Amino acid sequence: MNNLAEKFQQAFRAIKENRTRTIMSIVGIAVGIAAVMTIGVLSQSGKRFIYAELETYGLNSVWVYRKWEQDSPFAAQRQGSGITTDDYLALTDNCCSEVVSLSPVVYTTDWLKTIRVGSTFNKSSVEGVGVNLLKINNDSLSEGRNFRSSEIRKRKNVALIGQKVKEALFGENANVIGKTIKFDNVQLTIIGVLKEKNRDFLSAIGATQGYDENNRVLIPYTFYQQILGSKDIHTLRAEARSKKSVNKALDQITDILSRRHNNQYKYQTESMEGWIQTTDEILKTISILGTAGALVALIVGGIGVFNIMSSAVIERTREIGIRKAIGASPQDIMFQFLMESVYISVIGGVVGIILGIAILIVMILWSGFMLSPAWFVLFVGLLVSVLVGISAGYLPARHASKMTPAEALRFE
Amino acid sequence: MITLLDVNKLYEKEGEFLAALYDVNLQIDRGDFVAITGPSGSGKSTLLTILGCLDTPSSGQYILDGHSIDNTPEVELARIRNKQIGFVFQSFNLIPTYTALRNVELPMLYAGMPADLRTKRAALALNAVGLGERLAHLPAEMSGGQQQRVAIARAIVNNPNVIIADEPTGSLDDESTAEIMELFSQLHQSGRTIIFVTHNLSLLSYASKVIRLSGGKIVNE
Repeated sequence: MNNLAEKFQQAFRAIKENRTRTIMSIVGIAVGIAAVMTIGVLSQSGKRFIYAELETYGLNSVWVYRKWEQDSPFAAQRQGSGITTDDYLALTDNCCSEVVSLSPVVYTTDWLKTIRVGSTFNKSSVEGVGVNLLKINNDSLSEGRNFRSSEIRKRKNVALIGQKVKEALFGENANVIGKTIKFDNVQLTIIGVLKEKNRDFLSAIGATQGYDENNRVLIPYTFYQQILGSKDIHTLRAEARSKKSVNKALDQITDILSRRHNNQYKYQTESMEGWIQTTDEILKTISILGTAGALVALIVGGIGVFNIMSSAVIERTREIGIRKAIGASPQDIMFQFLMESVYISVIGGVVGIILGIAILIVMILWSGFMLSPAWFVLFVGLLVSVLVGISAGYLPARHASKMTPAEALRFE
Repeated sequence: MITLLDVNKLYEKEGEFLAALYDVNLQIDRGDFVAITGPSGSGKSTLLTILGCLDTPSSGQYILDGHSIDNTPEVELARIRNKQIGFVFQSFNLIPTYTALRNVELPMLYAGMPADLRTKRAALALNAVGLGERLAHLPAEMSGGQQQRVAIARAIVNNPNVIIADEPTGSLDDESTAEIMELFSQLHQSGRTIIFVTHNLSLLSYASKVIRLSGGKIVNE
């Protein structure tokens, strides 16, 4: 193809001469591309946010707790949580090859408790835990230290508090290590402050069920059991050796628990793998629905381009005849009309990308989440617009290229 | 140079075939100045489109410069139209959104000539037809005679051997007609073969050979 730049220019001039229809087609393509881009960015950013926040649970984390039989509310049910301190101690005794660390969690069903400092109070969740919980739960401390084994063993009244508890009771910049808080008339000495965790996105989509990791008070599980007057452990938290060994770790724990209780209890297990799968499924559904919508918009835009190109071929039949009479080959004519079609689509694509960025800015301002447009989404947007242009322009361009010059010149 | 042997051209209309040309035999030599005349519907324009490779005969043989045009692929026909033949039409057939210069550049664009050479040669061709001052004018900003001169510049810019003109003065006044025919005479004198269709009997005097058509047949040569 000779004088390519000039031929590109010819195509560009031609679309400028049919402004109204060109603009209509551009709008159609732009809406489609903006939709493709918005869906792409939302899906990517959503995945990134959710994974980042899921990591705050520890990706190898597993949960084991008693499964309550809901089928028959009148059936007599065995008392207790189905997990005791002895079970926990048995499990820590190198029982399970796929379990790296284990921690008991003790809590009550009304998990929000009033925590006081003088006349100031805050409603926080109180959990009795072991030394390993921080590691399993991917927690770290911004101040102070973790529990010592001796403090757990001796049922010491010490506590780790979340950042929100600190801010509510003492203020953001206060030095709280060694200070005391009151819970159920029990005095707790603060030995550490948990580093803030961001679960805003999971919280925004309702996945945290109102539970706020930054509003926790952790105490030795032995001390909480003493307050509650029970040896029950409500949940076992464990860290599996790897993501692959999560199911095996759960099997090892539940086998031992079942054996120790002669199969009198059934156990419910959870792992991050399940959460990740659920998240992927939700994101996939959003992507499919969004892509379907974007496709409809793109098809409508493509039909617009097809229309404008078909009309252009009819209106410019005589021009096609003139060009052929002075030496344009079928390929030259095909190239010119195909380029016009691609130009319209690419302009639509660029407008769509700008529109998509504007939509994302509005969404960022509205939601407060920093959505980052991935470069590949921009690339996909442009690629899709070129493909739409070629597909929509091919038939009209082919028709134009196949006309005989005499037939085209006779056209009135 | 140009030979037609038993050329027929049929058009299909509502299931019936109409003969626009019927057993036409013709010989045009290099340097001829040929006028084709005849009443409306006699097949003049059809003959011209076949001579100009704008259409192909339904049967018969067309030989151009010793080569048969039959079954020549469209890409090759485009090359012949670009390099060997220059066209001038009654209604000028300029691209209305292009300036005179760009209209004249167009055949060279399809010939693959570099942009700077195209511009230079287009300006020279327009100078040669007396439009050196009108390079940047659009067709709508020029008279009929000037537009036809742009069309002639476009027809000669690739230096073809044959100029084919279909009623080139049909839309012009007497003064412009004389100017255009004078240009054709100059092109003929420079060695080109000129073939033109006309209704105007006074223009036949320019031609060295006159072909009269009636009912799709050559009635005398």
